[in-house]
Amino acid sequence: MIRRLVAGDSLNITGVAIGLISLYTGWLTLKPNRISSGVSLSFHEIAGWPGLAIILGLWFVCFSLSYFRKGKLPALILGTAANLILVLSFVFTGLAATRLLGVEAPNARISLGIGFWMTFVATYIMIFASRQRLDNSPSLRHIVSWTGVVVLFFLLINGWFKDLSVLQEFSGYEERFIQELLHHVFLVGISVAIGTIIGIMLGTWATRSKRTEKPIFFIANITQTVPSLALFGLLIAPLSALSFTFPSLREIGIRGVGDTPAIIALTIYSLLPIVRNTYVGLRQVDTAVIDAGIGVGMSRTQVFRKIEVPLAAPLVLEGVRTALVQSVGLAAVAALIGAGGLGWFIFQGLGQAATDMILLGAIPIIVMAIIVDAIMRTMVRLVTPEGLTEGN
Amino acid sequence: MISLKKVTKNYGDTLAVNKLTIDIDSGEVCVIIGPSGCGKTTTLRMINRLIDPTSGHIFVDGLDVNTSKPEHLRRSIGYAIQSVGLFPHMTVEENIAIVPELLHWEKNRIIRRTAELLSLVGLNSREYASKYPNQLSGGEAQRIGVARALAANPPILLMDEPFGAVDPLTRERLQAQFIHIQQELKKTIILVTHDLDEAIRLADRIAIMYAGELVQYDTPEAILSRPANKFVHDFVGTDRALKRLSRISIKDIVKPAPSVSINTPMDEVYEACKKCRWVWVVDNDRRLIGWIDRTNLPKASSVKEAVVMGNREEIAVTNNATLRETLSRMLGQGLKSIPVIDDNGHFVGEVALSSIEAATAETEA
Amino acid sequence: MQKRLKSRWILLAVFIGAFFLIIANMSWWENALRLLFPDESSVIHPRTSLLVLVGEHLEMVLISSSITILVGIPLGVWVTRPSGKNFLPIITDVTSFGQTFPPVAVLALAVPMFGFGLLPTVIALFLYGLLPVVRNTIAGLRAVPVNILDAAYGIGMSRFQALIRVEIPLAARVIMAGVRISVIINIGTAMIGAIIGAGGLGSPIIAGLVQDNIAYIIEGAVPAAVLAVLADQLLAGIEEIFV
Repeated sequence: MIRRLVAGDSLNITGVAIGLISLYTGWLTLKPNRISSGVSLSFHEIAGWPGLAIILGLWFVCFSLSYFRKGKLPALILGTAANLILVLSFVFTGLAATRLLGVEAPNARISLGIGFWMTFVATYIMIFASRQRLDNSPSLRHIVSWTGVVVLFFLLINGWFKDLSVLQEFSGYEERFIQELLHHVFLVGISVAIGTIIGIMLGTWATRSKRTEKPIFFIANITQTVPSLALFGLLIAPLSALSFTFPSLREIGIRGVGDTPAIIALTIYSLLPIVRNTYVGLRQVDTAVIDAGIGVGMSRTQVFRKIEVPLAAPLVLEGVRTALVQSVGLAAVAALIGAGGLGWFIFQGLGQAATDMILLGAIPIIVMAIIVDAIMRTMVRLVTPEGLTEGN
Repeated sequence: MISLKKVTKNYGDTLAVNKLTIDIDSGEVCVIIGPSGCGKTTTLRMINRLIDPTSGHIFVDGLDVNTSKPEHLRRSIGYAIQSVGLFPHMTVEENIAIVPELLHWEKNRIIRRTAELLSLVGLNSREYASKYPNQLSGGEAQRIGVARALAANPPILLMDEPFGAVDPLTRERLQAQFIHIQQELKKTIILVTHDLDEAIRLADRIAIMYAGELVQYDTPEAILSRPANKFVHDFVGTDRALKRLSRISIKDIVKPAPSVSINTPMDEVYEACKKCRWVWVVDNDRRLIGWIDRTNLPKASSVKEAVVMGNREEIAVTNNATLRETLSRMLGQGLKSIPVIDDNGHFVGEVALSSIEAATAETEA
Repeated sequence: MQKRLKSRWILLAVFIGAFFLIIANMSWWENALRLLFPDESSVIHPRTSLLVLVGEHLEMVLISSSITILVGIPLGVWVTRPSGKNFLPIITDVTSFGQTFPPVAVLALAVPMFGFGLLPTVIALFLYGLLPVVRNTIAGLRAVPVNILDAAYGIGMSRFQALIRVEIPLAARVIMAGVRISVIINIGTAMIGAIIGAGGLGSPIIAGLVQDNIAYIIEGAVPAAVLAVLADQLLAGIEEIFV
């Protein structure tokens, strides 16, 4: 019977198993200061027996729900339980951090340990499992997926987790963080914007002229293969020489290192996804449809505007999405060549061996990439004309 | 010998096959036919355990099919499906050789067998052996599929609409080839089709299924002349008398008929025309070249003037044609009798409409 | 092999040979850089020779890619089998979701867990490289037409035989495409590994940025770019061998 149970909902069981194991591993690490390694604390040391009992109870609920595989109500209960575990884990951790910090020396740092991350993964699995069962009701699915995250966000803003090391780090660098965050957005935004304009033009040109198609794609493909750091490096040399020879360029901010090579490189990297998707998007518009448009008396521009553009738009936007997500990551590397952005925190942290600073850079970048991805996916969906089914 | 005993298949609430019991003799062609969703394909796939029955037993040569591993069972059963499913990354030769390879046949034996099978299905082995499936036409692919099914010389063959995916002309040829091969090999064949004409042409016995149940299991003649219930009656169609005619060859009802040659003197021609309106004209090799209509005789002074020439294949039927084809040709040309030639074009005799009526009446009994 | 194909491979071999030849001969390199940067006192990063750097870089990429293939392909296979199908949705979700993660972030996150040096770099490369390989393995296997699989089982192949003789050969090209993506991304990410002490072609670039020596930067950037392009062409050629 156990075999059948496991086979039937092995996903659920795996999530529960990970969650339970995580309770016995190091949950928080107490460090005397920013740099040195510290002492590991387990969950019951943090939340006490009552806290442990609550979480264990919730896991038990999750486990027993693997018996009830059908129906919306079990799925909802599962989702609720998982979200509760998620929020409570954060809450207990945040409260414990505050409590401990009050006791310890002011330089002490409390960072999240393996156990915490394992629970995080486990709750992701459980929420995913409950989402699966709610396939038929999109609204319930969204509630289950996002409630926990939304609650956490509010708690975060209200300072509930301020005593965790990452946020301690943040409070030390608050102004700089915001500055670099905005700069990061600036770098990504402007490069992809330019890249989109150039990319759409090149892509359209490639569909119109057979001769240019091959070279355009060849160059775009090659540039995509070149490692980011290498491309940055290759741009630095000529740009330095240029700004050296023409001091006037220096005045307006175009230098060998810094923003200039970064923006140029990011623009180049945005090209391939956009050129390719524009090309495919325009190509896939059935010539019969275009013929029909011309046949009823539309001019070439009208055909372009009213037929080709709406039909190709979703694909082009997909290309922009790829370019944007890619650029968020590449802009992080650009910090190495002095362009700033959230990558600055990562590399400073690496240089100082300060884990929390690394996290202060890495986590927001990941979150930004996810948010950008989600926004663009929604936009693609909105732009897709109603009659088109996404056959992907 | 294949036996299904009370075989049932449920999919949740849907009953696909309901307590099916049927015995198929060795060397027999059993065609399972029925409307969509009647359970015929499910039944077929239960025999080689691609689907497992919910209850009931299936026996092959007395052995329950559950006693061996499915893959071992399937290696002794040939399997040919409508979509053929040739492996695109393997050559024709490798495709055919796959089951012998799984059975660890010795290499030379496999090579010989592959060549043998290709010629059996009518394809030049030197030409086709190293071709890839994407280079084959529909008919060729289907034939390779059959060759693959026969490769390890299994006693049993399961076929699911094997001739379905090609044009009617190719299908006709494939069916003829099938009959020819089966006469040679005498396999036990279970064939699923939705085409009643195909069933009538190929089957020793037909199993009609409806809503998962076996409705009638009998020879085509029996089903056509004595449908078991209203469903079968409607299913075989109101033209079942005509359908029956496709099972019978005209060999037995060809009657000798007078013929004249180009050089026959006119008075002999008049003599021959006394009894019938048309007289067939042959050349010096006794090959059919045309006919003479009695009404034209007065105007002509020699056979050459009177004869209406015609293309042998168009005016005559061959002597292994079916009653159905012959009747169809006669009706199409508005004739009451039609000449019959052998494979070499020699005039053999004629078939009259009255003979066909007589033959039909016989089979009715 | 067709004539055009053969010439392509010969060309590739020539370029790869030339590449290693130039790398191995420091003096050529040094002279070239000196020509371009007459003002710099030192044009070649003194720590190690270029050949060693290329070697370190390739080592990182090859080790992590090998482990990625050894783990990723079986994982992709398992998830498409009945025994693993419960995990197919979540693995599909994770692999597409994971690709939004910037590789830099994955590398950075490996440090708190595994320290500095080669280990966290290889681990980060392995993890991040897993995503395209798993995704493409799944996609390739699922693209095998159902009727061909049915024919395979029907004529008597066991599940394992069908996997090895039919499914994987038919999915091979797509899987190879995934491996190619994975390797190219890894070559790029491995460069950043230089920051955490993993060596490789990123080292001279980082050194050049720190010491404001553009010659160092070029010393690292050019071979890295060429290496990446050659690797991509090589893998693309291998990809085309499959059906």
